Amino acid sequence: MAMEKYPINIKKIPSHIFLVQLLLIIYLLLFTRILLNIPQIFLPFLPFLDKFRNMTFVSYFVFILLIISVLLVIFRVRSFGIVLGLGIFWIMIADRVQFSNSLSYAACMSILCGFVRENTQWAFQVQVSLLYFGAGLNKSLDPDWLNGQYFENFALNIFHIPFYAFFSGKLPELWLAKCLSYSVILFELGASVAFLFKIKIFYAILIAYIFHGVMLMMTKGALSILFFYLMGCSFILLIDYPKSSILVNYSSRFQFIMEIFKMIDFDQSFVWKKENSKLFCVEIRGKGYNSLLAFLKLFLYHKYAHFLFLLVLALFFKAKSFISF
Amino acid sequence: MFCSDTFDVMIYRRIILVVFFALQVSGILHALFTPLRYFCWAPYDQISLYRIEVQINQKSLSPKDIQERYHIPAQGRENRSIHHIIALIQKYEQSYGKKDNAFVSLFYITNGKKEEKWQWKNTQ
Repeated sequence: MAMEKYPINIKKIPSHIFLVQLLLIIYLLLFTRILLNIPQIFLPFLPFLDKFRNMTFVSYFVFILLIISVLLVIFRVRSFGIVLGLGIFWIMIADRVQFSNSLSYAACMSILCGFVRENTQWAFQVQVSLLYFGAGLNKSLDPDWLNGQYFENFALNIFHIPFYAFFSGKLPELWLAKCLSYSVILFELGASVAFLFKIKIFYAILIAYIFHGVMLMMTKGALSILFFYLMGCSFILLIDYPKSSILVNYSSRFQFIMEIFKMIDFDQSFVWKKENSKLFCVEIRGKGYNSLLAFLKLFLYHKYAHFLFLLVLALFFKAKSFISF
Repeated sequence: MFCSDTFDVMIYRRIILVVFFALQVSGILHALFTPLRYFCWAPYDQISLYRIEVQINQKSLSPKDIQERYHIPAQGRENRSIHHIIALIQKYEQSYGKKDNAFVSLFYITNGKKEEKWQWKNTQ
């Protein structure tokens, strides 16, 4: 592979880890308030922490540590990634009201980005797998998920999904709700296996994106944006980027978009060839792909395009104020 | 690129990762035996609409007072488990608010089913 060029040429870490750490900071800045308020100790999960409740310097210390980590993590992903993750965990453990699954996941990812080395990259697979497994297992043991009650309420009373109201009225009672509930459970348990063992990882990522995207559309952006974004970050880490360059053959009608892809190919992982043929194809590890599949492969293997997609998505949803913290 | 570890560091790194994931697995397993859904990767698995009412010395607290007391809105939506709200109130009343002798009522509807009520009164 060509010598890697980083936008900030300071660290010696793989660029995909650097990009994910950057996305995690963007998540903290856009979607959480933990960097705006001094953390408190309020009904902590670990009761002994209550002893520090009146020692304000402890809270200030954690806050300053978090701010320093956020500012310096792009220069030293390894150490400050771990500090940032532990700092977030401190905030949640010290104040149970701050607990959130997305924040916990971001903390785990930040710690792993700092901690994982080449021979322990399986840790990212385990982390993604555990998330889907926990979610799937909990749903599969919940009677309201199994009898469709959860989804009926979710779709009709909470998110007022028009297509659900239309189709469920035409089908036997709770039939559609049960179908959707079982689909979600099957997807989550299936994803936990696929990501753990990296089975058809490219297709697993595509299906996961479709799943989170459908949830996002069904709820008009109110649900799943955080997990769409955070899982997107994880997917950047799960892809096996080839050591040899990826060959991209494109025709002039794709020139504009390919110029953008080319411009942000900071690692020079791709060899771009403009051809007269109308076909668009991508060659990865000697295997060729055409048309839509080629484009999807290019998108997922192009870590900077993947990064830009998630960044634009986050900014869009923030701007639309669709986010519920 | 990645820096390579010495053999010892590699072993320690793996041990730390195993502990890191074992903690998460124990969170998932613990959730099988409790209605609480903390640290077990169960987002949005139960939706409850709730309303909290608090009386201290026969006097009702305003929604703002309730928010200040428990750090959560007096009325709202809990997307994980209603037992998080119950545990929060219970823990508050057993610790920081022990001397207030508060009488708390929590009204909630979980997953669109009928409304339920949970109450707490300090007997001190």
